[in-house]
Amino acid sequence: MFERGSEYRYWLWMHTCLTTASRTFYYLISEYRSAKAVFEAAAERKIVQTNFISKAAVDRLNQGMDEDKIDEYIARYEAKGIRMVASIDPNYPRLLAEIFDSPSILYYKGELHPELDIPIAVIGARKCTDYGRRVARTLSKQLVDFGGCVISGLAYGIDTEAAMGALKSKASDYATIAVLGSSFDSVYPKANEKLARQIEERGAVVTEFPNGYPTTSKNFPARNRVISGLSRGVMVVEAGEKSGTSITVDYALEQGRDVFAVPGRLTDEMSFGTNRMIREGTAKPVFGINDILEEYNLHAEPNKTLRKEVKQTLEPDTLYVYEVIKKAPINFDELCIVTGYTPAMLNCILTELEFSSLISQSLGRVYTAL
Amino acid sequence: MLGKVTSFGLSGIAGCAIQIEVDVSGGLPSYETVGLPDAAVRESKERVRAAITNSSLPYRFGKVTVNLAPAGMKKVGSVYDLPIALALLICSGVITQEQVDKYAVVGELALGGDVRPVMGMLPMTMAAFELGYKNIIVPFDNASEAAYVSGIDVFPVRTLNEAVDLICCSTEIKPYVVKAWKPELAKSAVDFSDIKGQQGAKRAAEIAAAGGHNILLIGAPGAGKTMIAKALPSILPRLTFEEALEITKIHSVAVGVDYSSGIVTQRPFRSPHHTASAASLVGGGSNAVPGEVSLAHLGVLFLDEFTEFDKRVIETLRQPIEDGVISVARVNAKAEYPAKIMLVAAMNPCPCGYFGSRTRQCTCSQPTIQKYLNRISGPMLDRIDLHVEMSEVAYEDLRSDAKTETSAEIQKRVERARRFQAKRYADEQRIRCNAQLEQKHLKKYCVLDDVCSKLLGKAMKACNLTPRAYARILKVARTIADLECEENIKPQHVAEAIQYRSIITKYWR
Repeated sequence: MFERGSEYRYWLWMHTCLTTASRTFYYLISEYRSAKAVFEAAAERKIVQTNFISKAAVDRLNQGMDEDKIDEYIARYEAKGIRMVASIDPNYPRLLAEIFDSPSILYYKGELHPELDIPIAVIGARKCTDYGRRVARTLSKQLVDFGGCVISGLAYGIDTEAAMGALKSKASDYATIAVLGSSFDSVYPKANEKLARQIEERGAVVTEFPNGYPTTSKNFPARNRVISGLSRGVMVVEAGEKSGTSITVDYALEQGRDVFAVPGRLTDEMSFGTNRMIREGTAKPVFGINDILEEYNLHAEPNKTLRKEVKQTLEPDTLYVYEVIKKAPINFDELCIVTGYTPAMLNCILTELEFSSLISQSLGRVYTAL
Repeated sequence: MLGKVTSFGLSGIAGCAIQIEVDVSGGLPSYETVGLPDAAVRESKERVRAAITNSSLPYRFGKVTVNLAPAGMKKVGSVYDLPIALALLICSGVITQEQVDKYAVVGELALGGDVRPVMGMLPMTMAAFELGYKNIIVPFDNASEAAYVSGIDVFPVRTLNEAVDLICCSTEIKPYVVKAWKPELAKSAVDFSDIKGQQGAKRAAEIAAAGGHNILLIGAPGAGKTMIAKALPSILPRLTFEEALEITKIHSVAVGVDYSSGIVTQRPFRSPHHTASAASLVGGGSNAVPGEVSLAHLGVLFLDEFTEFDKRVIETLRQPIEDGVISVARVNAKAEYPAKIMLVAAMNPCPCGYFGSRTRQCTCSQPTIQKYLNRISGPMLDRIDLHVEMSEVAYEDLRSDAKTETSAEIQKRVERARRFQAKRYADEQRIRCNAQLEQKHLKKYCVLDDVCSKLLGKAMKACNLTPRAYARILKVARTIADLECEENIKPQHVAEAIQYRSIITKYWR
């Protein structure tokens, strides 16, 4: 695709000179009309330093193109299974191409489609509560179940849960896209490398950072604009008063995306941000998956028959414990007091419920109905 | 002139006979100790001379040579003072060789002639009995410990003069008779009825005590982890006499134990501080002395703030926990100590302590938490049978007067479960409780029916269990069944045992 002499090749060459400086990139393109024209101008040393172009960028552009080096560059990524797509390529995600500072070259693993089915970004705090974890996971799974695609940032917390929830759904082959805030050779956070590989198989992992690009705190706001850029809507699951999530929301509003927020308890610190968005009217509250789907003329009919069948097979004691847990998440010792059962008996019942996938256990031995 | 006395020394926790030979011949006065003595043995020269003269006994000047045989073995400590003094007195004609030959002698001397207690009395007395000695002279303070060895007469002496009188038969000292040994329940500072709420943790503690299982308590500060651990001794089963002897043997050779207490009556409870070194935990030093794991043999080793221990130190516990024995090897000494312990570990889930708490927000970042938890390695976690999560008790619970079970009630159930186990393992030599079962025993004693195997199979997959963890669940299920005096493991027992394994996947990913 990057044959010698093609516009794509000049595009790639410009990208290697300017890397993530997308604004400079598109300024030059608008000045000279094409990457090839930029190349020709550079050969004649016509590009000079201005307010929009730094001295370093001019120097690099004026060095011209070393064809062998570009070939080697392409080969290097190919060898690692990383693919590249230019923002003028028809295969470049269309929604992302619409934003004014889209990455000039997008590196990716997995598959990329120009038109995704209802891509929704699921974002939120890294240090989320159990509630946030559960909501992110369930809603993400349902999104994919009913024809959506989940975009997330592969960070800890909500991001991880969103990706895992999306992967859990078996409804679609194309479940989720993760946008990295680092290059492929140093996936951050490292603990999610395995998850990234799973995402590649059922979607794509993308980044605008070439290999060797340092991972610094500046990368992440830049990454956030890609997350919202790829999506039609952004759903905030949990956000504190001050958080990186608000950066993504600002991008989303700027880029004309829908913003959704999951309401939380008034006392929950991790819900201050989302509750505020709802109050201010920047975000539409999400009470269920249909609140998102209806914006895109879809509707979900949750299938509850399976759960009913399982429930019918339960012993009365077990069913009683399930009903107690269903009211509100509760920890083991409280269950002992509320139900009056012995710990031995409860342990046994809880194992059965867990294995029937009716409840799940979380930190602090808190049990929650699914 | 030659004098010979039999004494005893220590090699690890085994006693061994040492022949003391003293020769006094003409020539310039001198005093030489040979036979690889350490500094304490060499210094005995001064104590022996002063003790003899201060006891108004004749000290024969001349060229004195003291030999400790076998000459190739290193001799350690002050136990040889009294036998050397007696051998010297043979040379000066106060007592005769024939009179002394009846006795084995052990004891340290003070300058005034008093006899002081020594370490390792019990193993030395046992060795004397095994070598066929009928009488042993021991320091008075050690008598209550030594006298528990039946078949040998223990003669306690307070001074050198008493020893001489005993040997000359001028006074009659009766062999020491001990009170009948009676095991006691440990008096712990905390009773289980003092602990409010925490039903889950209490149940886990009961299972742990009933089967001798290792247990990990994890929870926010103030959840009551330490309280549970401290209350644990009060529900442990009573000691048997054989167990008591085994424990005393180890304690008797350790530095800093009370000599006068005789044989232990309670299970040991050791709680070293988290700054403990590897050597202090598993044993070591130039003489290869026993460490905390051995001192906690047949009792509890409580490691509070588990994550604060040096990682290397914790990992050294892996082998003794698995094998129940530790062999300590140093250049000068080598010893094997038993270490069948019940490990009780308590830790916070993260540096700030509130990860997963419902009352306070945790302030640690995810990598910090992972780093903190990773101080405990997978293999170590695998070796802990019961993982228990504890959360803070609500204020209402703390104030409630709801009656909770006392330690004594729980202890009775534990005792019953242990008796049930003892009956089953009557044919096995080295097995006393479920935790000590080895791989080969599992097939015989932990038989699962179809429903149980299926359940366990599901858990293996859900919790990503290793074969070792699988074996641990089996053992815990066996104990739960024993608490109900059930011959066979039933599904509900397995189901409960699984609960004590499931937290691992929530914290350690």
